[in-house]
Order: sequence, then C-alpha cells, then structure tokens
Amino acid sequence: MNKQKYLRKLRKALKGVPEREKDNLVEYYSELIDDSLERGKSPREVFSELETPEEIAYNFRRENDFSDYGRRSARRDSAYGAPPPPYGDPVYNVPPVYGPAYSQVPPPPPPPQYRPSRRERFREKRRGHSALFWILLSPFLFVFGVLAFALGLTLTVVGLALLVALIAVIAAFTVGGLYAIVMSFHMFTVNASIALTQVGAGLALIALGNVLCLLVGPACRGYGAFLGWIFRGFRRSYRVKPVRYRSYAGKIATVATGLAVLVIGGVMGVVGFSRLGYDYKNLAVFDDYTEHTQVYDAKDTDKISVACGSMSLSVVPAAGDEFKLVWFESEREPKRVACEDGVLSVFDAEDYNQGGAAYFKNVWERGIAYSSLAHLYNRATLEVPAVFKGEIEVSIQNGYVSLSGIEGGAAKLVTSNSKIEVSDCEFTQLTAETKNGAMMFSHLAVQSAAIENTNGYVELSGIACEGVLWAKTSNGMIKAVSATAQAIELATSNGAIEVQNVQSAHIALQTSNGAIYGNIKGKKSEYTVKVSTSFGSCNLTPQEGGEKFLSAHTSNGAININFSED
Amino acid sequence: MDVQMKKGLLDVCVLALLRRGDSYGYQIVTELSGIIEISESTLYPILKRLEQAGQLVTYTREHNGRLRRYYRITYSGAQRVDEFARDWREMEKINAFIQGEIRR
Repeated sequence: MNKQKYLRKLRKALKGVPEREKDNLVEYYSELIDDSLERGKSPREVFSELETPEEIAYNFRRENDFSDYGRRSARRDSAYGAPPPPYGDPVYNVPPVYGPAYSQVPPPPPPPQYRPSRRERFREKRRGHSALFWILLSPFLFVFGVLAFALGLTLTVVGLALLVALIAVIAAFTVGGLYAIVMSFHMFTVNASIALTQVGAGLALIALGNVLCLLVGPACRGYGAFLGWIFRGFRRSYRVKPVRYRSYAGKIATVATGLAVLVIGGVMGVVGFSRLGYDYKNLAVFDDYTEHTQVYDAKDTDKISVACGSMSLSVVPAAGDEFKLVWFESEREPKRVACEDGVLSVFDAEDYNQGGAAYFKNVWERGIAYSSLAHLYNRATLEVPAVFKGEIEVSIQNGYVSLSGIEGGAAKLVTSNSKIEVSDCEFTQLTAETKNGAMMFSHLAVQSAAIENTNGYVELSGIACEGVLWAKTSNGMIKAVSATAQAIELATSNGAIEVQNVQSAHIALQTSNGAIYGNIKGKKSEYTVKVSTSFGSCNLTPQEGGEKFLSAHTSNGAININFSED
Repeated sequence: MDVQMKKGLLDVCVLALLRRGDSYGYQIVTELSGIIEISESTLYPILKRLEQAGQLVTYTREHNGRLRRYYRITYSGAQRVDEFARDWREMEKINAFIQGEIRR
C-alpha cells in the first residue's frame, strides 16, 4: 500500500460526495500520512494503523447524513440500511427504573459497525496469489512489460529530440542573426543599402530566436512532467503541488521587445532592399567583371577541363571547327585559360585563394550573399565544335552547369551548390554530382550514367543507356521518363520515385520515405518481382520465374507500379 | 467511554490543546491520544464542526515542499474552554451524586 494508492481508493470510496468535501477529506488524510511518514513511521505501520479507505468513507457518510452508505451489499444485511439511531441514547427516553428491574432494560443497540462487504472479505482472503497463477501469467506480463518499457523509452527519446531541436533552432537563429549584423559593419562604408538589409535581416532573426527562448522553460517543465508520467507507469501524480506565483510581466516584456525588434528589423530590411531596387542580385558588392573571348583550335584536343570556385558554365555546340570561350574575369578573380597538351583548361588563377580566411574576407568586404550570387556575374560560355569527341570534366563549387547538344567521350560534372542540366548530348560515360541543386537530364545517349545528388531532385527523360543507369539522391525525388537501359537503379532517402515508360531488364527502385509509382514497359510475367514496404500499400505481389528483374523497396510509402503491356 | 459523552468532551479537548498554541492534524491526534481515545477519522469531523461554529480558524503553511493545514483557536473557542472549566464544579457535583446513588 502506498499513499497514492490509498488516496485513490479513498476518492473512489467517496463517490457521490460533493467535490469540495472530497478534496478536503483527501487533503486531510494526505497531510496526516505525510506527517506520519515524516515522523519516521514506516509505511507499513502508517497504513496498518489508519482505517481503510472504505471505513473512512463509511463513517464520513454516516456523520454527514449522506443517505447512500456507498455499497449496495450494505442494504442486504439487516445490520445496516437501518437509519442511524436518533440523536441521544434511546435509554434516555425510558424512565429510570431503579433496582433489579434496571438491569432488564435492554442495552441500546450498538451503532452499526463497519463490516467489510462480501467482496472485500473475499479479496482480503485471497490476498496472495498462487504459484500457478504466476506461472501462467508471467509470459504475458513479460511481453507486456517489455512493450511498455519500449514505448516509454521511445517517448522519452522523441521528447528529448524535440527539445534539442528547439534549442538548435534558437541557436541557429541567434548565431545567424549576429553573423549578419557583425558582417555588416564594414559594409556600411562600402554600400549602406546592403548593410542596412543585412542588419535588418539579422535583427529579425535574433528577435525570432529570442521569442522562441520563451518556449524553452515550459518545454523543459512539460518534458519533465511527461517523463514523470511515463515512469510512474502512465499514472497521475497525487502530490500536492505548491502554488507558485507566476509572473507574466517578464514574459510579456520579452515578447513585446521581440516583436518590436522583429518589426524594426523587418522595416530596415525592406528599406535597404528597396534601395537596391528589390533586386537580389544587388545584395553583394561585385567588382567590375570584364568580358574575355578566346578562340582555340580543336585539333589534337581531347579533353576539356574546367575547375572554378564560382561560375555558371554553359556548353553549347560551335558553328565552326574551333573552340570559342567567352568568360568574365575580375581583378580579384582572375582566370587562367589555356589550350595546350591536348587539354583546354579553364581554372581560377593560382593566386586566387578561395578557402578559409579568404572566404570570410570576401564576406566582410562584399556582403553575406556574395558567394551565392557570384556565379551570376562569373559566367562563361564554351562553344565546342562537332569534331571534338573527347573528355569533358567540369568541377565548380557555386554555379550552374549546362551542356546542350554535345557529343563527346566521358563527361564528369561535379558541383557543390549548383544546378546541372544536360540535354541532347551523347557521351560514353556520364558522371554527375551535386550537393544542392536540381539535376535535369533529357535526351541523352550514354553507355552508362552515374548520377548523385544530395539535396535536390533528379529528373531523367528520354535517356537511352546501353549499360547501367544509376541515380541516387538523399533528399529529393527521382523521376525517370522514357528511359531505356540494360539496368536501371534509382535510390533516394526522402522522396518519391516516379517511373514512366521505363524499359530495362533489371530495375531496382529504392526509397525510405516516399512512394514508388509509375509504369514499366513490358509484361509483368516477364519479371521476377521483389517488393517490400513497411507502411503503405503495394499493388505488386512478389513473383518468381521471370527473366527480367524488378525490385521496389520503400519504408514509408505506397508502391504502385503498372506494366504497359498487361 | 460513552460515545455521546466522548463527543462533547473531544471538542473541548481539541480547543484546550489549541489554546496552548496553533497545531496541525497529526500533532493534535498524537497529543490527544495520550489523554483520550481518539482516531484520525473522529478528529476530522470535530475540526470541521469547530470551524463551522467559529471556534477555530485554519490557515495553510508550506512545510518541506508540501502544504500543511494549521488550526488556531478563536476568542469564542477560548470562551468555550473557560465555560467548560467553570462547568467542572457542576460536573463534580453531578459525579458525586451519581457515585452516591450507585453506592446507595
């Protein structure tokens, strides 16, 4: 027996009594128990000395004339159900008789004593459970216990993750806001409008972070209460919570200042931006870029190599027999362009430092948006003659890569934050990689293709591949329309996979969070099918015996693939 | 002891205890159980009755992180105790009479 259980039973026994009376009585006993325990009595002593909750409730009702004594079985027994004796001992109503006759006066009936009901007597007798009971029940209890433990653990971890996420968001906003403001100090001497926009944005971010901070306190307290609920076995706590005076003045002040700063920051940002003509391209200071043109002979050149920090590169067919390169260069970002030893190369000049301290120097002097926008000015167009059938290697960090109408050997396109677009091209091996950016491939003829994206979608249409077409992305959708290959493998972590009119003898589609849908050219009977999904419907059933192979696996998502010739 | 007589006496006992100083439920029960037979459930209605009659007042104080209800005697409660003390002489007379009767 413990205090919570005792009080719970008491409350239950007092069913029907008005709430306030119940609360007072429960509080009284709660206090008594706490005091007894505090004085060093063991719980066993305390609860054996106290009356049972049923007794207390019974006596309480009797004292207060609550007519229902609480138990139906009470009425069955003639001892209770009888109205309480009238006030005053009945003997007083009998005239006193002295002498021997006095002893014949019947003693007053004793007030009905508390007697446990039949059910309670039964329960009292059967207090201990037999060994057989435990043997039979233990497997179920074990399973239940394990499930409850797993559920409790999961909820604890999920709650903690949410709490950490909240703090991470606040930290990101605050740090980001401070960064924007600090980096604007120098900017005021260079371009006040850009600086103003940066400061405005920074203030807005900090204000948001500050207001979110108010959520941390209640979130932690709520998480604590939530954990307590779980570890009490999903039960409420009957502890009397001390009334705490909660002042809302501080919180209101924080929200008010936060909103004020948010508005001020917003106004500053908008004013600054408007002075830049609402053109995002003006958000950083760019040097004057000068345009250069160079023409090279394509004879004996079998490789094109481009490696730049920021550039938007566009590769198109040339009209004649020569390479024509048009590019932009600034004083600070010189390029080295050469065509020698069979390689046409376009590099950032060696003394141009891109990483580490130079990056912050750039941001300090030119604005936060500098590296993201640099490629807009840093454009290059390369015209490639039809006679060139060599290798193309492009490595760009921030920029845009586009190839159109090119026929060559192996093409390797690697960028960090850029879009890659390849259309109407013919290569032997195509390798394309980007971290943040969309990838779009259309009307290609390749021997093999390996495409990898981290955050961004991949779109393939009209691809004719002799060998393996392999496309992988982490966050983004993969869409393959009218693609033919010996083997097609599409894999993504968060995103759907859509196939339309795809033809291949070996198709493997894999995603974690997303649906797989579309249609495959051919007959289902030609395929050995392997499918699995954890949450989601699947319209395919596994089957053996086909010469071709199709596998579709997803964790959260439906699978809905049809065959065009069925 | 006769139930009805005890009922009347207990009220005064509680008041007399509170006359010496404020107290709380558990302390009242422990101190009175040496003098007269009393249990927690008998004390509760007594306290309620005395409060309703205006002979004591209650207030709560924090103690070790929980709330505890304290009882304090009022002027009319003190008057009742004095009344009992005065009635004692009459009680002695009655007691002598009863004892005398039985001895008769």
